[in-house]
Amino acid sequence: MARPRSRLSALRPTARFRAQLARAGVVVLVVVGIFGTLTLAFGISVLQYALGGMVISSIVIVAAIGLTVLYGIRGFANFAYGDIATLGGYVALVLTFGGISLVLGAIITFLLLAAFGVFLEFAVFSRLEGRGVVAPLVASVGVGLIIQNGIRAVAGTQKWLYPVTLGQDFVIVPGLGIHPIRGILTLSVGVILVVAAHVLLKYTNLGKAMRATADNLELAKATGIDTRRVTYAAWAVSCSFASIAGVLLGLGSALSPTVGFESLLLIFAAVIVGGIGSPYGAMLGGLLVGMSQEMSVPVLVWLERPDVLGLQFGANYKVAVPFIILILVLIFRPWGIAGRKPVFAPRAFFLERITRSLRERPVSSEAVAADREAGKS
Amino acid sequence: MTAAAPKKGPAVEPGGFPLNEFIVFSLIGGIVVIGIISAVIAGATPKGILTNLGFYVSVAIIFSVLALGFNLQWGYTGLFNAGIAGFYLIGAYVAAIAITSPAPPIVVGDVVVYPGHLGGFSLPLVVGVLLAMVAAGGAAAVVALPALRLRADYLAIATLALAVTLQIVTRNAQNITGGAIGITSVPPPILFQGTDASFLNAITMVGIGGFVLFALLVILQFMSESPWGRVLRDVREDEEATMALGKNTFSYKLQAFALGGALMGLAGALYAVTLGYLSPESSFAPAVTFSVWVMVIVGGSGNNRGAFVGAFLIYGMEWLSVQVRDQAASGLAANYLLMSVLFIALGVGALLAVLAVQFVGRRVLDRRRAWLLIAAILGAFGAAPAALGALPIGWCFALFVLLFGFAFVVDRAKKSRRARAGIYAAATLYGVGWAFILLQQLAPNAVADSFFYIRLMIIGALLILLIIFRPEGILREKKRVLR
Amino acid sequence: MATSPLLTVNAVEKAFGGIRAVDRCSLDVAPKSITGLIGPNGAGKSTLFNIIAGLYRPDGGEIWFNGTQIDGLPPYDIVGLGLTKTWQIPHELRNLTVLENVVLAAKGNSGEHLLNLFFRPRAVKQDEKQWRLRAREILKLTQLDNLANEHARTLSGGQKKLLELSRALMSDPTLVLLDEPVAGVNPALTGSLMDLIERLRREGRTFFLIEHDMNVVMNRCDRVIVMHQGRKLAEGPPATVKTDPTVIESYLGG
Repeated sequence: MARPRSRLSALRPTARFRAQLARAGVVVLVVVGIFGTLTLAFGISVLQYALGGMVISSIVIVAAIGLTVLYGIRGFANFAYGDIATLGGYVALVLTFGGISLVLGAIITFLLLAAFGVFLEFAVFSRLEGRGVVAPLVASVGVGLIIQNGIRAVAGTQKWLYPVTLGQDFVIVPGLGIHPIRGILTLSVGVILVVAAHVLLKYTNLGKAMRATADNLELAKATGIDTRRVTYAAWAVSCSFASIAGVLLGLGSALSPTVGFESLLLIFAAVIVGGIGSPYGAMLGGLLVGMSQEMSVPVLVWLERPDVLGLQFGANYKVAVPFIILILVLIFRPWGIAGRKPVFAPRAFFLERITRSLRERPVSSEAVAADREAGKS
Repeated sequence: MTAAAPKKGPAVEPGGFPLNEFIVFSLIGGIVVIGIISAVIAGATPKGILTNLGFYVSVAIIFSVLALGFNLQWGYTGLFNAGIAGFYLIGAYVAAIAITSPAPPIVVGDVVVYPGHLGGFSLPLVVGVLLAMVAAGGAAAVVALPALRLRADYLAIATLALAVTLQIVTRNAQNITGGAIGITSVPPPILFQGTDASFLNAITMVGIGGFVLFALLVILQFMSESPWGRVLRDVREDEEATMALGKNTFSYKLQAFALGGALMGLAGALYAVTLGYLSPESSFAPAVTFSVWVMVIVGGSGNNRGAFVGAFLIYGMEWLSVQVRDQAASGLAANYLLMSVLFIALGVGALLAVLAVQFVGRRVLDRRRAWLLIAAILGAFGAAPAALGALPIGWCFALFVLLFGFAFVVDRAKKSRRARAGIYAAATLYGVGWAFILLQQLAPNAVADSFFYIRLMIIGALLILLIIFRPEGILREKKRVLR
Repeated sequence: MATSPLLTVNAVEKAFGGIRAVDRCSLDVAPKSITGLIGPNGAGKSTLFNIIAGLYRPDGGEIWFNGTQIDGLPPYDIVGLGLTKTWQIPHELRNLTVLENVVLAAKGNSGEHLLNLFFRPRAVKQDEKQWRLRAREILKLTQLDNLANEHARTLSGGQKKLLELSRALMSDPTLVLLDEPVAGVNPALTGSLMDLIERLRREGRTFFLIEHDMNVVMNRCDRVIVMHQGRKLAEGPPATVKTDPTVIESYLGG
């Protein structure tokens, strides 16, 4: 009979949690390391870029949480997500036309788009259950096309601005400024929504049901969780978070019909890097992706110098940096930071061949037989 | 603008009248006819109309090649490529760079008006096309090495990211690609001079394109029916079993993906030559990728003939919307009164047709006499506006044909679900038509632009409907069996 | 045991998540034998077969076949070396005919290589014809020749098993791993199937089979290897194994 463990030891985090914590720690260390190096190399403007990166990250994190929840529970990549965000931005805009303040409008948009998400599941995606991964993806592309071009047809292709006075950057330190609306408000909204998501997932029954369903759909059904309700809830959360991201995007630059779609890949990058289905992974992924995009600017500007690479318009390539990260993650670790390696991962014979030739230890069959005789098996 | 045939394909009767093919081909025919009408309204010459049509056919062929490439990757091997636009772009730019004459930067004062682009090799067209295919196919092979083992949606995301990255690079690597302006003077295969130049160009491109397409269809058919094609299909159906039978499935997937990419490069090269200029914005946007998806899904994935018919249909819609926007919008605005009269006549005539079918059908038992009577009634109704001078006689004839077709569908509606669907579709189109006419008066340019975007919404809706209800596509495919 | 074994599995291990499906398993298969592999459900037999055939990569250990080390090789290379496997649940290609299914298994059909299609069309035609004939011969052996032109999805369960065997034979293998070859097959057909296997063994092939049908195991196998919880528990002639107390306990208790 094993010795009963003391009560305190029950509080020790499980091995898996420790592993995840370790991984998160590695990521944070890497980020801080890069940070420090760049500041030493390029000066305080680096911190300005970092701040810009934080702002972008907040938007991406909000969007990524919404996307990953849907991806994890419903199991497909929603290519309409960017356009849903755009829709949210425009709905809020229309509400401001009616004299409602932007804040109130955003809250109303939040609820309206949640209902829209439920409608999408009911009308379109519920019919595609069990059809694999490609079918709902294609359908979501169709939905996105309809939304984006519907907006174009109704509102035109010109850019719209929210009726908010924008004001000047608020200076923290010389060389380091932050915009009250684009910066501070965005960051605050991001934090609020992250906390809200955390509370929802950790402390409500619905949240627990959602996490269980994302983890293992069959098991969740078998334990009596109403996966229908969870699915609708996932769509509601997903689209409402998307709508807020859309409003933030519209505040950040301006509203155009493509403002959401342009960020779609960025959001996907955050979700995949973080691990599909994991909201905390989405937060980390969003941080990584947003920061890497902005922090690459000083490096790219350095590459523009003719004595280095002579790269033209280096700064414009910053949007490609998250894509490169995405592609690399997909090649080497498709399950992301917070995901687990699937048990039946397809073998990459090509990669295996390379690694095998790198660590070949020739063993002869006679040696094997001799070992066996000696009783080593 | 109005068409009585339903857009969705109804169920196929085995071995019966190929209803789906009939509908699709009549839609394409309708697109061509309406396009011609728009051009006529705008006052184009016969040569101009033919040039325009030639452009439609050339670009439709280019999209067909894209669709065939995608079909090879997805329909045959099950690899879902969301970065079609990327390989298309590689092919187009490589071909353009190869065959253009030198283009140094143009600087006016201190401003760089045109950044210039890599080029000046002035190679013959065939070499340019071959280079484009090798470049695009090679890029596809390189992408495939790490990416092919990914699940379908991951592969889609990765390829989409690649395509967008290529667009960004193209837009910014100004000295190589001409930046956002692009490459502007791609020489046509044969340089014609004089007033008929664009007409002769169009004919040449159609000829070249048609030959290429025909050759491709033949070669692809040959390849797909070969043992090699058989293995490819088996990989799609059950990769593990095929691997256990001794086939290097990765190698096959790589070949299919690379070949598909090479075809997309070929399409890109043709595009550069047909259009004469390249710009990284709209021609290579993800929307192009999505359109190709629709083309292949409409035609039935795995079905080559379907892919190219789908391409003609979907691109036809785009071409038509451009025609209507550019040419007919002004014509429509000028003819507001006529359009209103036409629509009113349509509405009243439709009611009349329904009543006629009900009464005549009940009173007169001989089918042929009944239909003759109905035709007479509708004919008289149709002729009336001509007699009154309210509508030109051509329009009256069209009115009569539409109403007669409508009566036919109404008669079928009692028994056939498809006919009822057709009536709903016609009613919707009628309402949309009215909305257009009214909107046209309120905001003259909005209609033209809106129509352009509504076409994309229709493509989106098609995508959704097809994937839910008929993922195997609309056109039937002949099954081949080994004996 | 004078001749060296055809197949040597040495300390192979494979874990899925936390479950050790194969736990340092070592065994040999003698050439030109019919060797049986038995054990209670979950002993790791099918997993071991999948590892040998190259579908899974072992976490540890080596596998030797005919003097070549094959662990870590992809399945298509292993088939090329002369080792094939049938599936426990038949993996027939549903939309192909029986004949097409078998022709697919041919080793070295020149038409399957793209360049040959264009540069050696005559060779392609020849090969295709030759392989179709060979496929028909094999189908005759497995008594499926009257179904050659039927779609594979129309076959019954037992017939699908026969199709599996036909495909395995098509690649002219030295060693065939049979995963429950007669499960779901009626006794008369079972008998003729095992007769066929016996005949093929006399021609020089080796068979290593997993079976739960004790009649087949006891009457048809030269040697029987027993697996339990991922490793070899016992081995020997069928009579010895049948009365081994550890074996009996594993079936009753495991």
